[in-house]
Amino acid sequence: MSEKISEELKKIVLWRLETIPSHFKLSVGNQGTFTKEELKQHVEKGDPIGVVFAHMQLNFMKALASGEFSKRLAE
Amino acid sequence: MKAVITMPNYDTATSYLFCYAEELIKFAKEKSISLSQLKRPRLRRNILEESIHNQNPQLLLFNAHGDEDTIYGDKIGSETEYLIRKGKNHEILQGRLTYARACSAAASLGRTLKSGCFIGYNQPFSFWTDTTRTTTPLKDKVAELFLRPSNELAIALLRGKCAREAADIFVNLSKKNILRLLGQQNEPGAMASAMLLWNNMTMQEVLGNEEMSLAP
Repeated sequence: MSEKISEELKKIVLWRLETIPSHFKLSVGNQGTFTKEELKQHVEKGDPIGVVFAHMQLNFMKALASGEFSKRLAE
Repeated sequence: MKAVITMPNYDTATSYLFCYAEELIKFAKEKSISLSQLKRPRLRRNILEESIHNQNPQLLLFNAHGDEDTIYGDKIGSETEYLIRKGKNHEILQGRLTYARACSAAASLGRTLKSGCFIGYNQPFSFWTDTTRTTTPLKDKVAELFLRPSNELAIALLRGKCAREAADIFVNLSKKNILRLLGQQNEPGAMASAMLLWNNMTMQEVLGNEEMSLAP
């Protein structure tokens, strides 16, 4: 994934990361597993792991905002 | 009914998939389904190709790392060996029912299918783990939110449900977990888990013949 993370999205994702418990680790395929602190560093750098995580967060926020999330859950 | 399952186990993610795959083996045994297990040291591309050629399994269950073009097997030295790669040996999937619990393989590899069915994910399949439970993956309640739905998909296929029905089981269990998490949204990590479940659920694809199922 070659896209970049906008500064606005970066701030949102970093804020969301603050809410994640410190004993959680994200397993993201062959990219590895990452603690909250490691994820923060990847997002700040805007490297491929950071981009993948930011996109997951963005997809979710878009689904919430558009109503797609509620629609799919109600189906 | 014949099936093949791949079971790498060399890092945190694959150790979780390995433990969940053991449950599928137990289920297959109870139902007298012939499930050929490819684990280290037999988890090699040439052995997979030979097994498919000799046994002609109808169902392939991949627990693995993956990318858009590839499903990986074991780590040999510092390299992870590919088991299936677009343009190399993808034709061995033709005519079979495949479930790839692996990242992104539906994005390109799954689309090479001319017959059969491929259930997979067009983006990374991700899950949270609880670092206090990494040595006992089946006791990890956080990871279970993500891995139980995918196991139930595989069990549905082993039961003879068609691809679409099995994929819907994954979606419905993921939705159920999301709804439960929404009721606990003040719990630390609840919304982060809902976010990942949503991503896995919406990135799942069923490519090819959705009505395909295992013949008894």
